[in-house]
Amino acid sequence: MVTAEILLRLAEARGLVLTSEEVAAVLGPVLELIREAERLTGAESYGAARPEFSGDAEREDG
Amino acid sequence: MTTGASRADLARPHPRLFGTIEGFARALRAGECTVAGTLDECLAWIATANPTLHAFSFVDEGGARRAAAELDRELASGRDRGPLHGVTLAVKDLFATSGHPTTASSRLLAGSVTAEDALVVGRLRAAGAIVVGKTHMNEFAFGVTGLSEHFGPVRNPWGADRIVGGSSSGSAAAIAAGLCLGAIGTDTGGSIRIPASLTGVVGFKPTYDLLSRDGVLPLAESLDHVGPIARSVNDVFLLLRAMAGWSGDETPPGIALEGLRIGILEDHCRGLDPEVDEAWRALLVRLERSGARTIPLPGDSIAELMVASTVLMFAEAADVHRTWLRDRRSEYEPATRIRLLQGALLPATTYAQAERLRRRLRERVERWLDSVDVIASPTQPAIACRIEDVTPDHIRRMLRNTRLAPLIGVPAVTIPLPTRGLPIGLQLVGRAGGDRELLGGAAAIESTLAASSRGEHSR
Repeated sequence: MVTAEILLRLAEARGLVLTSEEVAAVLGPVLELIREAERLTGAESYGAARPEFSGDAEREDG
Repeated sequence: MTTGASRADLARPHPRLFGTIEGFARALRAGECTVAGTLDECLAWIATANPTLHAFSFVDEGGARRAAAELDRELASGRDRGPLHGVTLAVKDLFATSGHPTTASSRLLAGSVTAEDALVVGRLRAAGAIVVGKTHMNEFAFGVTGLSEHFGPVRNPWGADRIVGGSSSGSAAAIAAGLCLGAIGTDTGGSIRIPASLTGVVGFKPTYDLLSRDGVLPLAESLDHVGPIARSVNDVFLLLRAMAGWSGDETPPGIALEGLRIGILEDHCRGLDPEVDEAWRALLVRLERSGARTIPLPGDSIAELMVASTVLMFAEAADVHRTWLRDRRSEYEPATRIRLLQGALLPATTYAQAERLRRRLRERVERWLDSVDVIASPTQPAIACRIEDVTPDHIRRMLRNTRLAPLIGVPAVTIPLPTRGLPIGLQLVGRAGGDRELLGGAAAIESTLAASSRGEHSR
């Protein structure tokens, strides 16, 4: 689960320290984008629904 | 001009400045004008109108006059560079132009002068175009309004209290106001087509990678496209031809409307302003009368395309700006800074999901284009709003209909629809690599609309 704290710590690791004003303006839209991208692609991940592989039987490349 | 005045209030310059590249070329060869004389009229008109419109950030009067004199000498001695010989050109301020400021309308690049031309600028100059100056834009092309907290708004020639759209704001305003005959811009999520639509001119975003981005400041490299803006489809084709380095035909291929299969993107036609809805319905009637077949393309791709485009654009832009974002963050406009920081915080898994959405959308559009020749929608769901009425919701609405084409790299053009009020655009989207054919279809519709408008006026 991505949390706001993790995002901010990852940004800090790249030298990007946000002010409290920036945190307030940035985090909400970013978390919304993350959740929307998860929702729109969720059915294609392991554990959600079986991914559709074309030619499963022929796959030998892992 | 006072705020809120219409374009009719502008003191009209020589009619040729509101004409087309084709018309200028004919007049030049017929000896009805010279390059230098037309440039004089153009510069005088810029001096009058630009303080209000704020389209140009820099005008190279001396360089333009020298180029014009040389082009007149060449023509007199029998050297004709072709249809762009002597054509005045406005260049968005993120293209490098030799010896000019190139600032992307940002304080971070204040005082920056580029030594060489971007590849497409060099090609246009070689074809005879005269770079008159550089045009205002949203900072680093990261926005769609044409508003700038640091440099002020670009104003719409159809109503100076209204937005012009962006990010190629000054380029579109310059064409609409007759400040020059051709312009170039970039389109990452709609930045050519949005301002072209809101100012009633033609804007074209070609297939991804058709035109070189060499010498162009990037916003998001997998989405960035270079393209022309002008007053007719044929003028756009002439600019494109030079920018791409094509030789041969000087017009797009002739396409008949009879039997043309036009797919209608239903999700792009919802929630239209009443003026847009009226113009759109009238268009569909005209197309059917002309023998075209309109075919509904149902479904709703808006959420997918908005998420994919936003994630890819913001993340890629944050990567390009990462050093300044750490070291010079306060110099950005607030809106740019916040968008870049959003991009910097997006995880790689979200970027991968956006790529997955992009592939899904590309496959969907390719399937549609197996059964239709072109995909159509209004370019914008709304007319140009007043500058003080711009809200985040309004901005999201402006982006809705233009983001699909740059996301999947297919060509798209906007042409003006007949309207009694503020400009409204028709967007046509074609197959990747089908740029000529798309412009051929757009020219056919443009011609039909012009003919039916003439018919209505004569009744």
